[in-house]
Amino acid sequence: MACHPIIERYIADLSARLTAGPRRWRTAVLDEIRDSLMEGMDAHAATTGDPAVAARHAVQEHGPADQIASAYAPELVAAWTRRAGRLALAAIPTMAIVWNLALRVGPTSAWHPYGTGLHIAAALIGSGVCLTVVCATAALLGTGRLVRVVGDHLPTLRFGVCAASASVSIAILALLSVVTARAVTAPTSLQWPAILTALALTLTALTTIGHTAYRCATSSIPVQNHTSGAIADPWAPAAGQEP
Amino acid sequence: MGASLAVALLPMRPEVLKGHLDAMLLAVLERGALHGYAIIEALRVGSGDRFDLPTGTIYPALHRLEKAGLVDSTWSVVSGRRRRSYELTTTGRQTLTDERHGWHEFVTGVSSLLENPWPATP
Repeated sequence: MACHPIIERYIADLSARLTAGPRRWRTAVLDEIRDSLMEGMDAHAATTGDPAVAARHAVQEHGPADQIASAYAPELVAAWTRRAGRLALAAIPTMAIVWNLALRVGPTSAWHPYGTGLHIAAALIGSGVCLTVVCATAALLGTGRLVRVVGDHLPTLRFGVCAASASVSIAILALLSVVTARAVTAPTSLQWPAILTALALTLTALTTIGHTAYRCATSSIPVQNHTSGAIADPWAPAAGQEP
Repeated sequence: MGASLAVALLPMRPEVLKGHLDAMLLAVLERGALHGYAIIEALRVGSGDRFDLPTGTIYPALHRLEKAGLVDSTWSVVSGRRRRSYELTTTGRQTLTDERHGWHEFVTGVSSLLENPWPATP
């Protein structure tokens, strides 16, 4: 049976309320709901014989779109937390490889003139990497299977993964400061095409990490009940319904 | 009067069901893999039409169980639509056994209190 316009309208309404989610997660959620509604519609059509009535029943059984979107809020935050954690962790080996290659292809010369600066940058990079690994790993484990053991600590884990994103960004910026110092004092020691390529990749990584961390930090999305302003509880009885 | 009051106070209220939803979902999946709508139907039929949940709220609960490693999900294509089916993992089976044990303990305790009221102190 083809998807009924009533169901499509409901899916579109729900989709508009789930825009904060990663695209793949959102597609999976909407595909699953569409299949469920179509199954419900088929079941009701067998008794009512009217596809429109059957589609309306299926949508009513599924629940109001704002309440359903609200029920997905914790999952949405967990999805952004996991994505931010994976990105922060992936950035460490990626940046290490990219800049190792970019600096190795140029002519070699000593780095000792920037001894103190190098030490400060190395300390920032080292501590940033350590903090990133700890916070991002904790966030990935805590939003994964360990949730059964340690319980639900999503707000803390979200804060942790934002700290991981900030730490890895600071580490990358410290690395860039070292390269900048090298570029200013010994420009001939660098292979510029390789440096500019690495720089482009680095800026892309920083932008992606920042964007994901921002979405993670701001995607609390308690859906407001449009009539009362209260946060919708999908388990609460509908208005006018006896508890 | 007594019967109607009993119906009104039966533990079918959504906030009561919410606390037991995970265990009920695990129980429904015990017999094998099911897709979302079939799970909802199994909950409805299995409860003798007593549980009337907004079906859309079942899916976040299933996803939460999957994150916790208690169920696994697989995607297939049926009638041109993507369908997600769920099944219990070994850990999920063990958790269901534990939940059953805990539930029996709880019911036994509550039943003994409700059905054998504590004698009034003279």
